[in-house]
Amino acid sequence: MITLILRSLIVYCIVLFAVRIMGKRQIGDMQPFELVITLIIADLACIPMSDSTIPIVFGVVPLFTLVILHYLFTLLNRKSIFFRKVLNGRPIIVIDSNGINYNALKKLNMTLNDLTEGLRVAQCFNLNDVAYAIVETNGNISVLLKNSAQPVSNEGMGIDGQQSSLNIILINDGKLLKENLDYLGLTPEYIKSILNEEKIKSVTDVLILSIDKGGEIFLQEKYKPCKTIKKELELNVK
Amino acid sequence: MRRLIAVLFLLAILIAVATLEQVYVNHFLYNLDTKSQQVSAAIELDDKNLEREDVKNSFNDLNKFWEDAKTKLCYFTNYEKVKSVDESFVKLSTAIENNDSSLAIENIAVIKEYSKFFTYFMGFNINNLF
Repeated sequence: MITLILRSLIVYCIVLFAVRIMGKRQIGDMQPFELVITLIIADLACIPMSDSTIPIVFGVVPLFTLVILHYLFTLLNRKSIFFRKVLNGRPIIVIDSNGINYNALKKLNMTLNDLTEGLRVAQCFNLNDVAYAIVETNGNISVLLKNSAQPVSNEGMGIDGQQSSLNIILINDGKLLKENLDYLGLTPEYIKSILNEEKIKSVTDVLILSIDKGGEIFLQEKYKPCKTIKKELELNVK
Repeated sequence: MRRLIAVLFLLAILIAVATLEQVYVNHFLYNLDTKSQQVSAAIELDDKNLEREDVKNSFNDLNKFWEDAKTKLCYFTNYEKVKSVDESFVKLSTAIENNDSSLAIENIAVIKEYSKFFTYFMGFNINNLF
């Protein structure tokens, strides 16, 4: 039993290491070759984990071989347009000015239900609103709405709005994030002074404190409602 | 760059492991074959009397070699494949102690067969590839 526990730990660490090397894309939107490798890795990891008569290298060696292969494919994918087409295929337009392209749907093995479902996921509930719909290489559907169905934008309305800025978390579940403080050029003392003003005794009582470059602070104590505070800040963003 | 280094490191490890395994398997099979031939020759010299010193010495030599190799083989071979040969070693030992020549000949044949055909499980060849 101890052997199985230790084997599981070792295999888990190795698979985690392998997935980290393969990059974050592996977890999110996968291309066909990435999906294939992920499926095989999942199976390979199980073999030595559950059967102690099989050496652990029987799982690890093919796993590392796939990692190297994946690296090669990713490299080719980046460098060569031809390989990109071979490995990933190409985006296909399924709706254009002539309506639904039935041939394209057949080529993609897609039904009308798949298409309408994809459109709904893309927040489009009326086929009349679609100018173009494209099935991307990872299977997602991108939709360009007709002008009449486009949402109103600040630019369209002639409003010169304030540039939005990134909200940076400074306290996360009672822990002060020094790296983010340094990034904004703030000190822990300054954060404590804000907490004092809000009558919060300690950093550990704070669920979240985030700040944007405009000086707007989002503060929420644990088990209490949130507050929004506006501060005049001279941020020294690195 | 870090990813490239990690991948090159993995590649180096794989090449090293594969080469070491191939060298070890070739060396192991050659020695197993030689030593089992010696036991076989000693048994065939006079199969009515297996309690002779030359039979015991050659078998002890073969058995010691197998015991050492077995622990290493488990790192890169399915244990089930080693177990069947291990059983033949136990039977051969009993056969020599009990002067049972037919059992001894039968089991030394299994070990000799293993030394020839083990390469089909372990080594790199076209049969294994497909």
